[in-house]
Amino acid sequence: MSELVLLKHITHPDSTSIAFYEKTGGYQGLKKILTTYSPDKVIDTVKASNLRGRGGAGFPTGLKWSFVPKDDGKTHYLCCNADEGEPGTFKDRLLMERDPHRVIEGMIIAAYAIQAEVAYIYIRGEYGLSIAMITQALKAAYARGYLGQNIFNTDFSLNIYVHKGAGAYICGEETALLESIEGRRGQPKLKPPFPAVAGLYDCPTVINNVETFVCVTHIFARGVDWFTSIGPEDAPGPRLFGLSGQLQNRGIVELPMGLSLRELVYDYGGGPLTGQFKAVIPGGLSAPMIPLAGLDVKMNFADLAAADSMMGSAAVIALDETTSIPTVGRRIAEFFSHESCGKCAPCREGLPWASKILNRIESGHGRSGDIEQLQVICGGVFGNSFCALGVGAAWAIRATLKHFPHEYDALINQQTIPVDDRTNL
Amino acid sequence: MIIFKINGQEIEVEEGTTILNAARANAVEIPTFCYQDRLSTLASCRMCLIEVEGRPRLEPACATLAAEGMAVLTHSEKVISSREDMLEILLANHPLDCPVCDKSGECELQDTVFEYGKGDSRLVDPKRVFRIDDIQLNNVITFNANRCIQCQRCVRVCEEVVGDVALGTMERGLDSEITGVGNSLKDCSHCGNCIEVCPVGALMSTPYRYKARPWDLDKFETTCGMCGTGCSMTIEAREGKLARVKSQYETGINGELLCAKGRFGFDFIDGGQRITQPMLRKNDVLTPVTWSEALDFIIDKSLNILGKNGHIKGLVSPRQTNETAFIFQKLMREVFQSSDIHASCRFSGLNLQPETTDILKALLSQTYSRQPLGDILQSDCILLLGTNICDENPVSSYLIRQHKRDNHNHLLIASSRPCTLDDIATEKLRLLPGNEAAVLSALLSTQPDELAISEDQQLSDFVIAGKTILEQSASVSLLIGTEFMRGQQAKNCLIWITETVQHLQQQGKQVFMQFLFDRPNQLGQWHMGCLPDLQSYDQKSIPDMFYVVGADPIADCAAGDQLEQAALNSPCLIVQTAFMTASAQQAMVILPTPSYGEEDGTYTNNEARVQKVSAIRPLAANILPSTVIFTQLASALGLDIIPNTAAQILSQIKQEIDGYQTLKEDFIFGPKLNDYGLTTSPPAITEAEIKAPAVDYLALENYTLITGDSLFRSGKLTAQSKNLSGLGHDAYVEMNPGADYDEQQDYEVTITRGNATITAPLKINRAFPDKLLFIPEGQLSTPANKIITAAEYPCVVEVEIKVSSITIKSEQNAQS
Amino acid sequence: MTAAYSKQDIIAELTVPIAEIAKCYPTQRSVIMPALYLAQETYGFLDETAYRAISEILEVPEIWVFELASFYTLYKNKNIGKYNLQLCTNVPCMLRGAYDLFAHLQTRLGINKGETSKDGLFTLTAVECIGSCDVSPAMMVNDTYYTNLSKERVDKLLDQLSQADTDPLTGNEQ
Repeated sequence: MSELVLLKHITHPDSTSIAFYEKTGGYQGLKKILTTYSPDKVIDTVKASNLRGRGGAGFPTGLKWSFVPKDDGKTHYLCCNADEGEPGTFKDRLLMERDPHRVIEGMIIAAYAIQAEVAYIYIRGEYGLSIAMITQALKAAYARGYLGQNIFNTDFSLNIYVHKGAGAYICGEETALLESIEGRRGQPKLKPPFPAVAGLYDCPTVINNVETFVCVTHIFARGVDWFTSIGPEDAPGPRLFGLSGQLQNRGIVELPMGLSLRELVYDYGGGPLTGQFKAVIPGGLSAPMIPLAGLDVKMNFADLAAADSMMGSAAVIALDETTSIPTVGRRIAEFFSHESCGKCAPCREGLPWASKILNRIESGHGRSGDIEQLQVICGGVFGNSFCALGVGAAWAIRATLKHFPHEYDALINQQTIPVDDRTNL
Repeated sequence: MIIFKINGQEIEVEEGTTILNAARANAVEIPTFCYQDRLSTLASCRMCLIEVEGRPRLEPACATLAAEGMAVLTHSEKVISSREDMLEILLANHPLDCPVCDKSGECELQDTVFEYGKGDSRLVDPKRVFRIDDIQLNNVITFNANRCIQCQRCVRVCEEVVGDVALGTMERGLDSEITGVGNSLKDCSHCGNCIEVCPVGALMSTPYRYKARPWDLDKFETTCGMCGTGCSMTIEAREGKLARVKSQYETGINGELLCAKGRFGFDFIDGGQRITQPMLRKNDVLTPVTWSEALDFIIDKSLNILGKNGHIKGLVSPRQTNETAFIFQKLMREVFQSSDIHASCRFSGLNLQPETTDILKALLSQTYSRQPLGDILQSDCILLLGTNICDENPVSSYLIRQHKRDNHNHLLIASSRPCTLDDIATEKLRLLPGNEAAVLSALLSTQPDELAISEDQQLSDFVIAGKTILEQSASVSLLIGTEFMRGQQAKNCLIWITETVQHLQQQGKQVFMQFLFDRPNQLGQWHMGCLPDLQSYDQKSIPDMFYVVGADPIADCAAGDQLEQAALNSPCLIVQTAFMTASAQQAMVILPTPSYGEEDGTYTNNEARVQKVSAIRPLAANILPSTVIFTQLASALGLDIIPNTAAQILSQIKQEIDGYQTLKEDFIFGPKLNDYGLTTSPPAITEAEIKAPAVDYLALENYTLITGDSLFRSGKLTAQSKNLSGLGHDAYVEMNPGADYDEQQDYEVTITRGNATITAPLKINRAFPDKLLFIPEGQLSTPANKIITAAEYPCVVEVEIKVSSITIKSEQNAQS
Repeated sequence: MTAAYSKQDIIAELTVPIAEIAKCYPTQRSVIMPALYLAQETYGFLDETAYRAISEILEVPEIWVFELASFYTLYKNKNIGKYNLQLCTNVPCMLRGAYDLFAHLQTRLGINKGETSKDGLFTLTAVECIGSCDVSPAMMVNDTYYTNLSKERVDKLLDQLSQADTDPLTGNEQ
């Protein structure tokens, strides 16, 4: 890709100021939209761009917006999912800390499209700086008249509020996020009804990711044709990939989708820290790891799905040969156990059970039958859990069993304890 | 209608039916834990997952609607395997407590594992244990967190149906634990519905703990004897001793719901001082005598009085069965030649004017709706008038809450005391009893500010909003309490109730009206004919004989009430009772009778539905059924009353009492175990129209005392219940003393009226209107020291509040 | 909190600010989370007195407040040290040595996970991903991020914080 778009101004020292944002064209797109486009035209434009959500599920954004009923007399809500809890993911934090106005402008455009009069940005509580930057940016936007009553003297009014999360990964799931805003425990809700029909306070609601809103501004600033010219046809537009783990170069890189994972971790990631890569997780901790042999897989939705993994949040975590896979498997099980909301039996009871078994294996107390038991538990959780947390957990754990059974067997068959006992961590 | 397949068989159901309900209606079993028909759907336990052909993942049957052409498999390999896995996962942390767990034998987890489980568990790792000892959440609920499978039925029933929101879940994931605040339950009504819905042994009844195994228990289907809701319950006894009370989902208007009184209060039958043999006053001392001596005395006295054309008065308690009341009024009318028959001690207002009985009779036969409560609650507008429903008819209030959630209708509440339904009311008003007529008059009037009510903002707001809602409603249900019957306005209120129903009907609306009685068989007694002929009998004159059945006029009547005076001054007071009472202590003759649960009979509830009351144990040796006493007296006095058994008497009732003709022959084993059906409205009689009079509105200006039932007290009987006595204060005065008084300090209140005075601990309720005081009826003072008078209800009193010198040991104080 | 602040004190102090927050939401229940944060910032941590006060101010059942305070991990239900050291041990950080760092902290402070040092200065917890995976190992000290950590940098940081007259946390030096 020739020029950075999503990250264009990120490193500029004034990137968070509204004056700088306006000087570089900010809020111009919004003015044009509010004064000359109909909400339906906005939706159609985003549909035509084939923008896919940048949160993790990759649902077509324009299509999601089109599900909101029109002229139903109810209040419509827009939510920005800035809960960013998927391990390996940190792109939204970057966008909020360094380009908050772009997030806001994207939200106002989206709110106009679905005729929402209230929007909430759900920012995870740990992201203190993001919250400060967004809050400051909102204040500036209100002062300039980009928010509040009758924006640009049109009939459209919008209020945006920040709702601070308080440490629950599950609130990144859209219906759990809505529950959290309503003041309940963050547990996912039954679908149907879908949020677009009955979401926040039982009203039509759209929830989108931070990066998705940023893409929206660029679609209108540079055009649908520009957007669709980047990357594969079914997943166009620039994307922010996160690189972390045992790589030389860690950070965020802006690229079109479609490149291979190998290219990503070698050309951009600088290759492994020590020796060879052992496996690479392509899309956040819920995405099954790809072993070294599979690194040629292309980083787009379809190819990763075919490889029994997923695009997720495009958070690439690389493991090199110094890492023991059972340790990673155990840590995955522990993470999801900690974050399980407790609603459904398979996730609530099954993941801690898997965690206990994996702990035992890691500390040298594994038994024959443990792997089979893990397979059964993962199967039960994968097929039967209420929401994607259980599915992701089981899938990721099963991948470690599938690709590295020898490492598990070695630990189980050994009588001595080969690694430090980490069980109290 | 939709046609789809379950296991290859075609089934037709209404659109909007879930696969689960469709399956159950067609005898296809699908196991569930978190699903409960009355509650919101969670689909969290994942036990009901079934296979829908063409879909990759299993779907929850409880949350998936049946669709045209769908093919559902409930016992495919995938489904069976999924159930096995889910159960194994649930058993991973569920303790193997069956040998010591109360629920064993009736445990849904046990039953489901037996049916669908693998038969072994491969968990070798330590289970998650919260703690070793169970927690006493309060005096009646014990909680074992280790056994909980997080189905959330308890939390949902408490929030969605009962409305207390006392239970919640703390932490998350495997650490999730059901809790109250600080492990005790604030605002809990102690109804025990959470225990009833818990599928495992996590929530347990403390009084029942370790007492029995379900298979040891004899089960008796019966009807509750606390209030007029008429809940169906199963009293379970072990070797004749009351073990516990349960309620089944399939039976009654209440299903699995009961209130604290119903669920825990029936140990009253083993409390108090039981009368074991007849007694006769000799030389001013009550002396045990034989039945023949006692009855002979009565017969002689009666002959004497009848010979002189004297006056015999009768009073039967609204807790007595229809059969007892029916034969009693036969005895009174046909033997004692008297129709001065009463069926309540507390409704002083009904006896003040001669026309009142006729007005009441007309209302009961012409205006009263004999319909299922569930149907009535579907109306566009429900008006709760003059009823403290959450204390007096708790289960009715649960049903209202549930129906409002499902139907989104308007709920208008005008009552003397605040209640938990206030939260979901469209409009609410605090109303002194007696003002019901004024409010109805205001709601119906076409003039905007008739009655100088505009000074009272709350009242104006309510009337204005209420009028609009009534106008917009195509159907209206009036559910009316009986507090107004205690006071001077009783007759006017009855007139205005009739007027309101007719007025709204003339506007083309569908109108329903029922009373919410706080006694189980008030309506039944009145149907049986136990209403006094006030035109013929001067209520002030002292009767030559006063025959009291089951009631306690000396204690329960307001000071100066005519029935109280009759009991105190009649030369011959006969008291037929199971327990020693104040009236019995003054009686000339005491005749022992069965208590609740010792004889078969029927009650007629608020819906005018006749339901069976069952004996759970045989009578003690020297006790005769009330009806037998009456027939023996009648026989000795020259009249043979043939029907003797409860069944025979019911047959006679069916013949003779208007509206009882269509009752079923006998109860039917099955879902409606003790339901004889609704009575029907008697044919219309044209009566003289009574013009609804203009009425004044009585404002609350001075300290005013009201009384009635509380959450744990139904009259005096419940004071005999050990379980209920352990809940709440023994006596208290509930009021809002103002911001100067705070919950950290203990205060006591002294109430005085004339020479009567009572001092009791203060219970602060900030939702009470200023200057209103409440003492539960059963805890008002002794007969000699009555604050409440018949001449004035509600009563204006003098009040003094000071810091308490007594330390109060009670659950409620400890929590605040 | 506890003895120092009564329920009435909390109600007196927080009613007005909570009412401000309530303007952002159509229901009182939605205000519980921000109200808990406000109480925590004002009084240091949360306890039953705070739950009761919030329940009264918002007129919601106490149990709803209690549920949220225990479900969400950022609400502190007990008194902790002056500096809450929250070290991420999730996979991206673990792959860059977070466990070793944690062990080092345990040794240096003489406490285990979840405990507070005897001088009341430091509480040590292991947390899940805080979104600093490219600059791991990373740690939050109260609300401030410290990244690219090593044993040396962590020692230097703790030395600084241990000094009695240290300024409030200023943030990370790269």
